[in-house]
Amino acid sequence: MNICHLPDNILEKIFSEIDYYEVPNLTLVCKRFNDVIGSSSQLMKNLVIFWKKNITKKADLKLLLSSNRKYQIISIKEVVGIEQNLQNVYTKYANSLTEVQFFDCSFKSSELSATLKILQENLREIGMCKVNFEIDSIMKPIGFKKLEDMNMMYFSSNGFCKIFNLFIDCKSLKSLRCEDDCEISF
Amino acid sequence: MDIDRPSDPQVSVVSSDGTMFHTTLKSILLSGTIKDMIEHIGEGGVENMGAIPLQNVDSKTLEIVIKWIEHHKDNIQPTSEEIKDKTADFIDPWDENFLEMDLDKLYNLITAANYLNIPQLLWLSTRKIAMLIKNRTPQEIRSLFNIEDDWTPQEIEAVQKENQWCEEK
Repeated sequence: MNICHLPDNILEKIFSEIDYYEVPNLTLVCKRFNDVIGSSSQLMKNLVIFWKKNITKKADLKLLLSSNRKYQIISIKEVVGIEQNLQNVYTKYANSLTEVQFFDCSFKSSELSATLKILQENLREIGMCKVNFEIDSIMKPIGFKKLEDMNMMYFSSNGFCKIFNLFIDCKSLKSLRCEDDCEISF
Repeated sequence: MDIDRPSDPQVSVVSSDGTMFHTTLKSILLSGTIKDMIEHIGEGGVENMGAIPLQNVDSKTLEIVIKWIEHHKDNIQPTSEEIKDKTADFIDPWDENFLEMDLDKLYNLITAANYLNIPQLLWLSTRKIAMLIKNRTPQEIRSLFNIEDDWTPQEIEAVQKENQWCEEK
């Protein structure tokens, strides 16, 4: 018997005892390890898509769009406007992404709205830091009914942010953080 | 059924290869699988029931499991949730010593702990494997666990590239 004969749930338990930063290393051991990690909702929290304006190489993007991994978290930094490549990644991972984080981004409301519309089915957490947006661009596409499923919303240094009735409409919301210049009104 | 009765009745279990083992009710109840079986039998059934067949556990492994449950029969066992939340990650030195065994035995023990639903033993044994994996290169992991490198150079390059997406630069 060897370790690869253990069932997926056991391998998942073993890998979950290993520090998160070692998880990418494990994907290189063999196809079985890579497959178990890529399909594990617990372990895929350790493999975040970090999207920066400079990561748009055609070959890399093709790889990401053909991956079998079920990415759950995408962290977007320093992006101005949502280009087609990023939109394609949203569409590809729409069924698995549960968390989207924006840092130092600038979007038109319609772009943000389109993004959240694609992701809304499984989305549970949104983080926004130094992002220019209006709250309606989040609320409208997600819809107030959908807000009931949200676990966490985080807003920081977002000039136009106004939070309306979130505590009333997000019944499952465990954490709502608003920092620096975010105006909160109830 | 009153499982906390003062006297601790004997229970017999039979391994997949037909070897019978005797242990106490208190010990065997650490197995969630057997606890469910016994609870279905109802009050007074324990003394009258025959040996419990365990088709998925061989005699060598069952002997190891029984040694562990008998040592821990008086300890409060953490729940699966506590183990998951890492609120019960103190390792008893006895357990550290107990898990000093070759990999084949360890795999069989993990499989048995999973089948018998003994969360603490499952956590200890899977953690033991995890500790062996930690801080090793993919090649070292393959050598230690006798894993075939089934990647082609092109495939491994693709996985490495994909991993680069996951590194914050």
